Amino acid sequence: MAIEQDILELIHADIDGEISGGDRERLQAHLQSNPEAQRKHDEVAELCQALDGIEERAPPAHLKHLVLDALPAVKAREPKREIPFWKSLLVAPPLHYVGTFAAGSLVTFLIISSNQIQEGAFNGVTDLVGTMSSDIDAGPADTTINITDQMLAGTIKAHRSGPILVIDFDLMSMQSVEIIATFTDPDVWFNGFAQLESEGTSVSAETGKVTLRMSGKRRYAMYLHNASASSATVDLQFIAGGRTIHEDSLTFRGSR
Amino acid sequence: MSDTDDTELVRKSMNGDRQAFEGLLVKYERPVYNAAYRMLHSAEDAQDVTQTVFLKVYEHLDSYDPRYRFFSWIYRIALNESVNCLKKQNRTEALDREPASDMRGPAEETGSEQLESGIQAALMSIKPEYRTVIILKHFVDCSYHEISQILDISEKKVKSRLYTGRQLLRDALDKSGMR
Repeated sequence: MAIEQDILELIHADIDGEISGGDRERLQAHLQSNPEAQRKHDEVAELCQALDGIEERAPPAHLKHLVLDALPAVKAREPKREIPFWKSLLVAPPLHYVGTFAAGSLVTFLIISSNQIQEGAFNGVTDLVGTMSSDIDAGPADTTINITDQMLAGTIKAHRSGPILVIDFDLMSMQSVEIIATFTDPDVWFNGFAQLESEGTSVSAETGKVTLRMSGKRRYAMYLHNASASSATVDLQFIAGGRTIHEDSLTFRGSR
Repeated sequence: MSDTDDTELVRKSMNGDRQAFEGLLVKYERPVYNAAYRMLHSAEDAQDVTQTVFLKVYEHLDSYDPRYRFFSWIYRIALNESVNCLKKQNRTEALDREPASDMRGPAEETGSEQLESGIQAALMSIKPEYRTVIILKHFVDCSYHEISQILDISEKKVKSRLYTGRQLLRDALDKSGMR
């Protein structure tokens, strides 16, 4: 015999602690005289107990940090600037672009890479640049790569600034080049991107991998966060016309 | 922490108080992440959704209506973002998808982990509209009234979806041999 709908509702409400005193008495009386309804009550209670017994998952430790780092950039989309941002770049020491761009680019990047933002919410990296006040100390390079290929030439410098790993690209390419940066250390994650002198570089990222695309003369920087502060290695692969034209590795010293 | 505290933190955040927003983040990061994880069955996607939720909250604080409770607003954003994520990634037929990268193989799982895996798989097999209500009830610990506020539906509909969702969940568990 099917259980009446109102009894079924009372069973669920009882288990959810949302039943009134009068209804509880009514349900108890019904359950005592109806084994099928009692069985249903036990089944639902068992399922709910299993659901309630599942432990919470801890969010990744760096999640809060990523959100907080991104906040100033989002907020800074609203205020009006008194001077065009590109003019402020002209008076800044070249390496100071790092901090200036980092937060804004980070937010845009995270959102673009996660495909979570609705269309039209952001138009691109250039909407968000110039939003962070603090600079990252350039410091001496841990690794410097000089590339003198027919298709690609220039310098890549890597240095650490606290937990931030900075990769400073100053390159000239004859055609479109894809640069794939890979890192296997789970304590390292993408933390931002900035560009100076031009805006022609695109970037996308996933866990352990950042892909940059550029052509012509470009100066830009990529930032990684190293939570463990230990030494880290980033492998770089340069692809043009479907073939690898250069490969190299950058090594960052530990910060301890 | 009460709704009054939330309102105060929101007010301060709107005035640029970063610490106040951090207070909201500390309070809601875990439940938002967990709700997203249960909706998506992917730690990576849950992280992306959580980031997006807080950035959207921060960006749209001005549009928050203090007549409504803050948690209703943030959970609604979280669930909408999760559903958007599902749509984008075509994950509604979740039983067919590959195991998430953070899952361990069945042989390595303990009894409670197997139960969790089984329930999560069953959750992914039911429609998002039922999954959402079950998640709010059992993983966010909301009352019928709170769920109705978050989803902007009547309490009657909340109950109906919850009862149906539980039945579907139970059927899926039966089918998978978990019972």
